[in-house]
Amino acid sequence: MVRKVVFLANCLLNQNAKVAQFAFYPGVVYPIVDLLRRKGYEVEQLPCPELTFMGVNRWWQTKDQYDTPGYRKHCRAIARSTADLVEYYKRAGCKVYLVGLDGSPSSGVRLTGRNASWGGRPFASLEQYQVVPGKGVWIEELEEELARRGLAFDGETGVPMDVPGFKMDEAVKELDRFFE
Amino acid sequence: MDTKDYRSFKLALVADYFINPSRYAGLPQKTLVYEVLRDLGYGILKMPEASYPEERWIGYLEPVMDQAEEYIKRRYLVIAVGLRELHDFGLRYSLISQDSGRRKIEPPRLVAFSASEDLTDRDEIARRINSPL
Repeated sequence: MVRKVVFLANCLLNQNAKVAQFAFYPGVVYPIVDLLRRKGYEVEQLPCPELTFMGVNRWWQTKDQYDTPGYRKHCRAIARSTADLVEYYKRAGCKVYLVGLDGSPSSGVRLTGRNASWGGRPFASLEQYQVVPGKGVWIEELEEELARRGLAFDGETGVPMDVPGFKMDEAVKELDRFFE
Repeated sequence: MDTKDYRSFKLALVADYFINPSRYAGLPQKTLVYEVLRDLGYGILKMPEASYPEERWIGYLEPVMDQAEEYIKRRYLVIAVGLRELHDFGLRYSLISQDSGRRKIEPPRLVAFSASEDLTDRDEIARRINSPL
């Protein structure tokens, strides 16, 4: 039987990584993690480059703000050790999947957050955070590192916890269908 | 928008065995350590599987320890949860301790379970995780 490994965005196992007011669970996002474990997926975890770049007390940020040479360099450095682990499972013949955090400026897979005018003194409101199709900076850099090695995830999706109006029961149903 | 933030301010560096026991054929397949950590509200920083090549552990640990250092500096509680039967508790705890020293932070307190214990005793597992000793 082919082993199935799923790499989860860091905050799906650790909500302490979130920016203020976006931690919806104490620690583990258990509806997602437990669904995947029940379905026989082996669970791995991506690091959180936002946390190691800007710290746990960072402000809300858009992809536009993280799209800098310095942050991309930071993501590329972390991507190398992460890609080593992805490569390890691919070489072992496993199917390897990605579940990111949709809406996130870094870890979005299908959706990310933009606003070209955010900056300066923080007066931002959530309504100004524009969720648009696209990947976050971290996922872009990780997938580029994998591509350099001739590798890619066998499937990828995201849990839209950074999208306004997010509903966990709908996200669980969607993920369940994705991994059928 | 719900402006309440539900984070626990508690994290555990966790050996892979407790998340993915099916990878460890010789060890008990029934363990509640993950479930207890989850129910106690711990965030998890997961380690790679115990057989991950030694030379790659250091690269893997660097961002993990960068995260741990940031949490410790901000006064989050960080512990480490491993299994005695695995090399260096399935955590490379000696590397974590050395690296903590280099970073001038206290190494995360180690909670070491053993495969010879009853890893399905929820109360005992919770007691050990919560114990300050």
